[in-house]
Amino acid sequence: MNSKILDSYKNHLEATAKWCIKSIKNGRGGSCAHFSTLLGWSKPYPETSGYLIPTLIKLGNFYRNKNYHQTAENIGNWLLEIQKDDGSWNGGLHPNKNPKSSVFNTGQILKGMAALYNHNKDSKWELSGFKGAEWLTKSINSRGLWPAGDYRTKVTPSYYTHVAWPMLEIWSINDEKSIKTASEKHLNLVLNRIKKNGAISNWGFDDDGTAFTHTIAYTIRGLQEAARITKNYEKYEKPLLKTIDVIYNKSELFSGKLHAKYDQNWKGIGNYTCLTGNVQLAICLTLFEKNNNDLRLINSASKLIDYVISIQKLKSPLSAINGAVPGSWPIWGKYMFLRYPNWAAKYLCDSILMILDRLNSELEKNTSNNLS
Amino acid sequence: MRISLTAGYDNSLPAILIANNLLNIGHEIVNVMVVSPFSCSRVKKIINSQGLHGLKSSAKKLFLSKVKSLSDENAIEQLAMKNGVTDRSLKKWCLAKNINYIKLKTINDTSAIRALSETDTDILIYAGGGILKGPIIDAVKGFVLNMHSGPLPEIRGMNAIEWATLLKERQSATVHFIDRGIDTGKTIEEFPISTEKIESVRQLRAEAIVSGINGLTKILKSVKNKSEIEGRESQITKLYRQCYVMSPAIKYILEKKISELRKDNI
Repeated sequence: MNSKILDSYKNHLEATAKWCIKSIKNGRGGSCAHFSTLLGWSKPYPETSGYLIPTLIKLGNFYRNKNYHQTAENIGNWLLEIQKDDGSWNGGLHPNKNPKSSVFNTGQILKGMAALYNHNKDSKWELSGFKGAEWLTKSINSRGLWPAGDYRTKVTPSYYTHVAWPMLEIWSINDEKSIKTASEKHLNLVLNRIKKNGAISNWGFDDDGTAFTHTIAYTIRGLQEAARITKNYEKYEKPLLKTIDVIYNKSELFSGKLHAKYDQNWKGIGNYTCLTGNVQLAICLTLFEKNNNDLRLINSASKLIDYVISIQKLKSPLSAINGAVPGSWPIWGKYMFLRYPNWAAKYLCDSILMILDRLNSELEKNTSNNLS
Repeated sequence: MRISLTAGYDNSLPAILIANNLLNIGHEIVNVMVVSPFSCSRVKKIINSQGLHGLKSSAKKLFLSKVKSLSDENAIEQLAMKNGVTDRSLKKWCLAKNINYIKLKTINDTSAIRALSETDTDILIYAGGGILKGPIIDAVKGFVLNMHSGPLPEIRGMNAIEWATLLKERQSATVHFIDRGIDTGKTIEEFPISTEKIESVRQLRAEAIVSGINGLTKILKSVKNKSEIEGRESQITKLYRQCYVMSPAIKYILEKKISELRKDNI
């Protein structure tokens, strides 16, 4: 029986996890935003360091290795040091020449705070998370929009469901209703942006309606996690059925090699793949399958992951790229041109952990059916 | 009846068996149309969708299918032995039977459509070669039959019997009309397959193919005129999610499942 594929997933997971640790060792407190073969390691990126924390905790649980947990806490402590008095965090890398509070970045860091609190129940994480969530709550308007200036488009992009999600994580810890209300305002706004063909308007970085698979996945995932936290699949995840089906079919028809971007009619754009988006969408498919029990979705998710790991180097003479994931493939694609972002590695770890869990549950089902 | 047949490659044993069976039951095979696996358009399509990596993988599969079809003792080979079929090349088989053999760049080539109308084809039997489009379906007035290796309408698309097994659907082959959708045409008849002695995914696939071949033969044995072939609309109006080629991970899950089922049956 050929279990090479499961071994392959585990090998790539291990290499990617080690690369994440390398990015932290070079990060002076956080995780470096990216590595470039031309410029080396970048400055640390608070946003992605924050959402790397839940991944580190999961890796620690998977490998039964407390060093990952300690590393997660170290990053958490660094983030506490640089959190502003109003609860927000600055956008961009750290230190930033033009520091400015960022809605999206604050949201991502809250994921780390929530994960740390759920991991060891230390109240400092809860307090920091609450302050950040409160700042987000105060800055959203009655229509569910955050003020312009935080992003490139004219209106709050739909991928800010990825801010609404961590707000709900904080709400699930401290039960502060205003946070939930604010979060749901934005989620309701995005639900109304879902089109009949499954595309969601304003889900990209720009106003032209196109979106990288990276922000497509952000948009979908924010709604999926809202469904989980509020236990309301009907409201938040079921409306994504058409969206998921389109992604499922495209992943299969292109054997896991999605276009980097899509327009509002699902026309693929670019002769390169956004590898981050690939594995993020694999996560979305795997999550959707939890409430739909259809291994065909897992089939598609595994092809998205398989494509990325087929590109990942494990034994390059340039050790800094072993276990790294390029932003684009070919690497000169427009998404994170010539760079290996830390969030691509994070999402690859997450996607492999999820798919291994799903495959193992299916294997255990086979065995227990046999025993019964 | 005057029958034309398609195939995805020259050494397709299932296609040879179908052609041979239909000839033996008194039908006239007027064209055998084989899509070249090495056509520029096919290569370009693979590169566009899967990259060079996909091309390498397709070439490997094609080579292995040639090797396996010569030495594989599965249900398809057993059927060939039983029916006295020794040819492993459609071209050679056609040459021996004086049947028109046409090599196509794509299944929807105008040369294929022209061959169908010039030979007054009553029925086109689809045995591989790609997705049929409107013009070729219309050329035979919709009388295109397929042996689908899975139950319809539930399991549409690729690796059908594999998915039927994994998703706990009926394990059967279905003979149906091909329309413009993917396995959405009217069903003619479903043929269950026996899985008692199945030990591997390849064996499962072979049993489904044999069931389809035997099923199609049975249907056409009793028919003198194409108007006697009736399909039925499914009572189920929902369009089931299309199935695709199984990934290595899912194929592994299926292999384990078959292995566990085998232990149950011993």
